[in-house]
Amino acid sequence: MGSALPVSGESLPTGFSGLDRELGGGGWMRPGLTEILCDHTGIGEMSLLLRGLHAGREPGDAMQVLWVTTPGQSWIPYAPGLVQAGIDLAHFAVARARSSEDALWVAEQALKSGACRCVLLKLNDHRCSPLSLRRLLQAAIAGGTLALLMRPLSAAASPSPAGTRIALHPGPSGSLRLALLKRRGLPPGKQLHLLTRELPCLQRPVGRVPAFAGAGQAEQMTASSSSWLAGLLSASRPSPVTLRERSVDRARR
Amino acid sequence: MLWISLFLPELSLQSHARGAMASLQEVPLVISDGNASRLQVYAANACARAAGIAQSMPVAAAQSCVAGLLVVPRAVEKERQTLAEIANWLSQFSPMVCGEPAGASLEISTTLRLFGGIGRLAGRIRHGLVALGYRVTLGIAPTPLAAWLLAQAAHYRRGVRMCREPAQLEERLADIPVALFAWPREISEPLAALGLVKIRHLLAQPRAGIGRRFGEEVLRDLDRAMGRTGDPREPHRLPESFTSATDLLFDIIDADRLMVPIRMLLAQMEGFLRGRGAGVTELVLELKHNRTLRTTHRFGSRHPLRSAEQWARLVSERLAAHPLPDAVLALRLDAPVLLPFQPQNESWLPTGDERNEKWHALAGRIVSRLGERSLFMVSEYSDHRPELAWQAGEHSVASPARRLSTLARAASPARPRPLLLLAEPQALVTLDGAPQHHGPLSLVAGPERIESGWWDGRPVTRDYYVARNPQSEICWVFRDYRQQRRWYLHGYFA
Repeated sequence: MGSALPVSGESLPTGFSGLDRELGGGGWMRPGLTEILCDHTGIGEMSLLLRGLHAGREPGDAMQVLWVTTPGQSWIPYAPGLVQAGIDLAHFAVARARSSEDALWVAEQALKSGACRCVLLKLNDHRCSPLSLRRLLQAAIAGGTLALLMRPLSAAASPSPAGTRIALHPGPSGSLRLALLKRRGLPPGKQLHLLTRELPCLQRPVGRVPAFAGAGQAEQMTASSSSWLAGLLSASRPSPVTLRERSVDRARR
Repeated sequence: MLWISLFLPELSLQSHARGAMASLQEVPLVISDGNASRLQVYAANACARAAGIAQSMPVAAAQSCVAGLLVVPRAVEKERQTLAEIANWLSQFSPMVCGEPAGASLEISTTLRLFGGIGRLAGRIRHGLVALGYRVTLGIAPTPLAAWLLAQAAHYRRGVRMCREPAQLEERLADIPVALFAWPREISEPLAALGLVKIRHLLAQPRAGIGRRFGEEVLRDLDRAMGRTGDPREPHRLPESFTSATDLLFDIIDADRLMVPIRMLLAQMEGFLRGRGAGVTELVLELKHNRTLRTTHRFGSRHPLRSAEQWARLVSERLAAHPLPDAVLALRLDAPVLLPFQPQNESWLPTGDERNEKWHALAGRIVSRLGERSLFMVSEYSDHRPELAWQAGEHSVASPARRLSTLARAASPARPRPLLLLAEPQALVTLDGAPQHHGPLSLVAGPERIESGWWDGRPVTRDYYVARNPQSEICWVFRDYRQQRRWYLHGYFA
């Protein structure tokens, strides 16, 4: 219905079996354009996208994952964090565009080239015309590539040629709530929760203040600090702080 | 032995007006020659000829024939240079290329099969030279001199163009005018006076008499053309680097139109590189705007490339991103260093190498448009300071060894690192001592103390925490425990 996507084509597993089941076809559609609508930074949205991208790679496969950043974004993809998330940095490239036009151009060229496994692009809504979306889709089909496009939630109101559209919201206990606005071969509207980040601290139930420092150290830490921090740190639990850091603290004292 | 000769009837015009041929068709143009007091028309383009201008006409008379006549003095050095460039380009078809007065000859019996037969090869040469901006006529014969005569005769629409059997040479060359031998005047004038204007007439005369009357040179040239004696030729020597320049005659300000002559230069380079079995990783394009202003663009590739198409894509991306500061009058293309070229695997299945090639081609295009630092690979770097614990590397594909080493580093849950790091830590406002980022932050893990860098003047003394705000955004924040104990946002666990 109005989608220009081919019926054929493989899927790239997302790395979340629950999500794969809900995205008809068993994962991100490749070739294809998938839109991720999200207004937050830091709710686990990148972890969702990155998880599956390097799975199932054959040895000698030189396909790249290309992340296109635009100047409005003050951050950079951070290598140590990417490694912790299981990203193979040997096949992870970053393109820094100076404008949204350049970013769209880079994404289109990369999709068309067939040299990339996936192209990630984050855009501001008002810069993204239906025409440029269609161009991205055509380029993705021409190159047999997966395009993952991030846009603000407000874009959900405007039509899009993307085969899959997912809105992201923060969920409880550090999880991510996904609303599947559009998907292949299945009715829209499904919601699901995923824990995309492997942060041990997030897996504790919400509502309880997590403890992370010994009482003695807490006193020392909060000697001149606010009551706010003191309240947070007052829980009693053995400290995960390393021996070396302790000795540093003692020396300071 | 089989030779192809090519003749450039408009050499003097085309060595000036390359790349502008299309626009020149509507402009009358003549090349002038002779001393300043008596300038003559040496060559005229079709438009000028249509206006009644003929060769050897005084330039003053020609100017009165048509308004707006463009007169360009003949540049013998430029013609010689053009012939050398054509010979360089032809070297892709044969190792034996030699120069002719206004053309070139190449021996093709050894490479004929490689290029799919005589018809295809001749077609490739003709179309290739048209693409370079030259009009040629071809002649094919078992001897270079006969091929050269046939090539010239083809221009004057006399006789056949091809003769493959040595035995047929006498018959096929019979109607060729002897003037095409370009013998000196003291030979050609008496020949014409005696009515000996065709090769057939000369061959009918007693051999000894011809030799006595017109000199051994005439007999030697006849024998060489007929293949009765050897005709040793000095092969054209290929230069060690590629350089070619062209004047545009008309200013070009539009980048798209400028690509036409640039493509010609690149095609010329590709032919030369094929002849040398080489590729290049670096190209320098110089655009001359006026006496003082020049723009220089450098293009690079990680692997030796020779395809004109690939280089043209890089150039057009760059020109699209960098507008021309002024109209362009002349172009110059240099490829200073030639490197051995590895032909690509022609399998129909994409191999890893081929994808690599695609990636390098893509990377070249992106870098060409957005700048050298716009595309990079990230890697970890051993520094405790978070902002220095990564580095941007070249946009190459890393070796498997490096990949293993990065994978071998186990994720360390005790020291979580965010996926996104702010380029600059962002100072956070505090309310009642609690740092705010879209609402008050609550700390969920930490502290991780990082104290490092006192030795190089960029010390950090920080306690890092994982923090969460009311929207459930998970941030990486730190407090500088030495300097004012301020809070900063440094990353997102996205």
